[in-house]
This record gives sequence, C-alpha cells and structure tokens, in this order.
Amino acid sequence: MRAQLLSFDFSTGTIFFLLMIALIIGIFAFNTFTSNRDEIPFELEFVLSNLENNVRFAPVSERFLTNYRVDKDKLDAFALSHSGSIDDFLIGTFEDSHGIGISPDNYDGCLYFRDDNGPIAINQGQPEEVVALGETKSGSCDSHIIGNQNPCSDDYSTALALFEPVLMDYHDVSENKIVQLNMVLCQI
Amino acid sequence: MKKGYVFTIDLAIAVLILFVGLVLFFYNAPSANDSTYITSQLSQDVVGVLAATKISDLCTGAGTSSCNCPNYPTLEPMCQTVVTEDEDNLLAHTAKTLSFGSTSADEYKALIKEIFVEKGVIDETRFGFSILYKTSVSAQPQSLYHSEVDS
Repeated sequence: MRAQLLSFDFSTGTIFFLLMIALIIGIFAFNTFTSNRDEIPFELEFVLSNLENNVRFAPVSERFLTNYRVDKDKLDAFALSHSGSIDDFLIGTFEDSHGIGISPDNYDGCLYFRDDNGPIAINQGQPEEVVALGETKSGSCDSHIIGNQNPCSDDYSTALALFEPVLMDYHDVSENKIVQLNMVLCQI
Repeated sequence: MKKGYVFTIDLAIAVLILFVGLVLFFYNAPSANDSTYITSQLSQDVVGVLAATKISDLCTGAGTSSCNCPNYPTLEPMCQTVVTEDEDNLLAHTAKTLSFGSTSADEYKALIKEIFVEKGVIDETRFGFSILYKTSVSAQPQSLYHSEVDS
C-alpha cells in the first residue's frame, strides 16, 4: 500500500513536472520568436533618409549624401570631423533637424560603403584611413568591418542591416561607380 | 516515522519542481543575434539611384561615337545615343530607348546585371529582384530583369 502510494505520487509528480516544463518552454519560445519582430520600430525604415537629412545640417564641406549621390571628398571631410560615434546622424538629430522620433540612446550604428572590391577606404592613404564610421560597445566599427565581423556583439539584442545603392562620386569618370551604402544598427 | 518519510520526500519533490519552474521562468536565454535586413525601401532606391546618376558621371563623350564608360562597358552603346541633357540620367535614357526600341532587351539585362549584381550592389544570393516596366502599348508589365532567370 505504501509502495503504491509512493509510486503513484512519484509518477503524478513526474508527469506534472514534464507538463510544466513543456508549457514554460512553449510560452518562452513563442515570446522570444515574436518579441524581436515587435521590437523593431517601423521608423527604422527611414534611417537612411534621416542620415541624408541630418547631413544637410553639417558644414557644407561635409554634406556628403544628397539624393543617392555620395561626394567622396565631402565624405572624407565628414569622417575627419566625426571619428567616434555617429549615432546622432544615423538615428537621432543633429543641430535643428527633426529626426525620426527614435532616441539614439538605444542604438549604436556603423556606416560603410562597399563595391565589388570590398569595403571602400575613407581618407585613403591618410593616417586617418578607415573603412567604416561609428563605434559600438565592442569598439570601432572600422576594426569589425575590416575583419568582416558583426559589429553588434552579444551586448545587443538585435542587429539590423540596411543598404541602398548610391553613386560614389570621385569627380573622376574612371573611378565613379554605383556602390552599396551599408548601415548596421545594434539595438540594445 | 515512515509516513513522515513519504511526506518529506513528497515535499522535497514539490519544492524541486517549483524551483526548476521559477528558474525556467526567469532564465533569459541569449538570443541568436542574427542580422535582420530592412529592405522595404530597396525598390525605391534602385529607381532613385538610376534617376540620380547621370550618364556623364560614368562615361566620357556621351552622345558621340567615341563614348567611353571605363567601369560600365555595357553602357557604351546606349551612351552614344544620348542627345539632350534631359536624357543624361540612366533612368530617363533607359525609358527613352525602351520606348523607341533602339536597345535590345538583352543589352538592358546585361546593363542591369553589371550595375547592380556584378559590382556587388545587390547580392543575388541573398536577394532575388526583378525590374518591370510598362509602356503605352502593353497593358501588362514587361520584365526588364529577373534575377532568378538570368543567374
């Protein structure tokens, strides 16, 4: 009788335990699967437009992006002036710009350009030469892009990538090309 | 004493179940941290860059028989037929030569592939894309480029 009682209790407990685990894992997995999608604000679709708008408030010599055209000389000048974080230009506001209604506090961003030869050097040949602008918690974007690594480390919940085709204008027909502007946003 | 032994084991199992449940409930598993691509504006961007890029940005001698496009050889036949400044962007010139039928479909496919695929602007292994156009003659959109067919 006692053995039956113990066996019954043990088996009931085991079944209940397994059901609870299945239930909790199911709830947890479902939330994990959907929550990331819900957490991506729709405004992020407009970060590239936000960058172009914010750059308009920079000095004339640094307004590198206008209507799908990137002025290489002005891009180099912009890179010299902004060697650290550029989150204000990507996500936030700069000077009197209106932004897209998202605070840059929850994001770290990287900006770089690629063509068929790989990442495009900015300030090429100079001591300040880089291939990417911006920084994340794990260091400069440049060091990650050069090493073909994801700049968004485990400190972030999501990595968001955007790109658009732009004309890289070197003011030289032999070098001008339509290239890929890339932006990586690391969401905290 | 044996009754107490059974009830104590029962209590211990119940506490264990509760503890494991609470741990699972509050445990925050690390996410895979995969990159999510946002491409909802890409089609607009393709059209935009074609409109913003002048043929004279990519070629010398536009509108002459000696037109030379160092980085885009497939553009040279079309470059020779540029007449006015209004035509001096890829989108406008493409539309004009399409409507007059002065450039073959294969030449356009080669141009699109050279600009966007071969130069690494759009990775066809990740993104398939098509470019369609409509004319005043045909009600149905015609395919100018389709990555699945041409890859």
